[in-house]
Amino acid sequence: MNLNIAVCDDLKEERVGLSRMVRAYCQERGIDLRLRLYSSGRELLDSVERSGPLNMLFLDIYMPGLSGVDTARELRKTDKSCAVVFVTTSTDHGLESYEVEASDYIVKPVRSEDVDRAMDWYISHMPEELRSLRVYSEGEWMDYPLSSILYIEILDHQSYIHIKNRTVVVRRSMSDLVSSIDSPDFMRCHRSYLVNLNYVQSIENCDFRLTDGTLVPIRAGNLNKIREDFINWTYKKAWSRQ
Amino acid sequence: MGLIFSVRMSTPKENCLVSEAVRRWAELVRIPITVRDLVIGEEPDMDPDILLWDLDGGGMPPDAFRGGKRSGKLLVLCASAEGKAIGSYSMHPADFLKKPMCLSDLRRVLEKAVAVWHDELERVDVLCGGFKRSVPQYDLLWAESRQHGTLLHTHCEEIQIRETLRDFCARLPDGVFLRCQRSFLVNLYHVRELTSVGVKLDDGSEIPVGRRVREEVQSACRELQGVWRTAVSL
Repeated sequence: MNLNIAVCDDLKEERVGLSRMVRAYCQERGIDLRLRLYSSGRELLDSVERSGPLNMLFLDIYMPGLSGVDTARELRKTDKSCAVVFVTTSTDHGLESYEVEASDYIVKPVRSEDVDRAMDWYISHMPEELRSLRVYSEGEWMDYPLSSILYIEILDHQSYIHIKNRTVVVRRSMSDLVSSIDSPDFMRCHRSYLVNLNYVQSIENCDFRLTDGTLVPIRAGNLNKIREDFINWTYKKAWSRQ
Repeated sequence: MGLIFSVRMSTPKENCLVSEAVRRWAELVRIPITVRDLVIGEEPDMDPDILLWDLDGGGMPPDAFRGGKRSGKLLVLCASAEGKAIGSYSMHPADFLKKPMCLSDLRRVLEKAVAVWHDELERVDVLCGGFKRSVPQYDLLWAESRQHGTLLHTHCEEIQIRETLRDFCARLPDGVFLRCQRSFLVNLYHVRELTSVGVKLDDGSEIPVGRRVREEVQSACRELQGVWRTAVSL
């Protein structure tokens, strides 16, 4: 599992202390961590715009310039899924923390069990797009984020999992993979194909055209139903992003 | 039976008011909900999908509700003391409201429930480009008559259908949708403001209201918003 986590606190010793606890948690559980440290809300927001979204953010409230609560409000305008954990000396911002849909609120001094609790919760309630598919291939167990899978096809009792820039071959049935993935973003469009709808660019005749140009066949007898389901999925996806 | 919404406030009067507000809200957003009042000391008898629990009444919500919305269940906590908000994170509620509740707070919570239960919303089927679409009635903000049919304005997109506005209107339930002008239909739940020429909606659109129906639209909006507002003035 890979996690992008940030710590934002104007006090260096707080940033360092907190990042040690986060690192220790990830190390114990074999989580591949990318940790970014920021000393102000503005610096954090600028960086998120440049370097992409975060999975989790430990955010101080009292900082010079933009406060932690205002930083979270700004962040929420573009990112609804980042788990924001307030870390502060104050107990006065409980209501505001719910307004910005924080996932936890830690009162300083921070203890490692507070960080562990916040991270345990995040990992067990991860957003759909961060979930992984665990498969055994070429002698080892590997986790592939669902968001990286374009489509899966079955050929000669083997499953070919097409991931960006590579293909993984596993000996698992389609129904087994469908039940492991269990995601509304994946559609069984053909007896031998399971497609990640997030990569569908258009429907051409009897195929899904994916963003990388691949054509994934749709079962002819089901074309209308699949087209309707795809339109409704698109609508729901747009609705949930509002 | 649809979804079950259990309410446990600290007094029977509060229970009654909140339950009425939720019932009214469910009618407006077209979602099948059964609201159940719980008295203090009583555990939810059936398995509710959402539980509004007043911490002032003592006790803790059942374990099944702790831990966020992944399970498809929502826990909403409320209390008079703001300080209880931070302690509530151990239960990971979907939201925390400070009493007395205000309309916008309760609305915020209920709209979170809509996001989780999007599949349960009552829908209206329309044909668009030869394909059937099931549009949740809640998502339909307003509609306007066009030369070759009707244009539906939803939260996320515009949908062109061939049906006339009149025919489309006839398929929608009374009391929520209102033909506010010959060429316009409005979802009263999304009306934010009555202006001198029409109504302003959640998405910022302003819809004209015909002179003849102006009074009818105004009284329908006031009635709906009024019932809803009275019910949450705790």
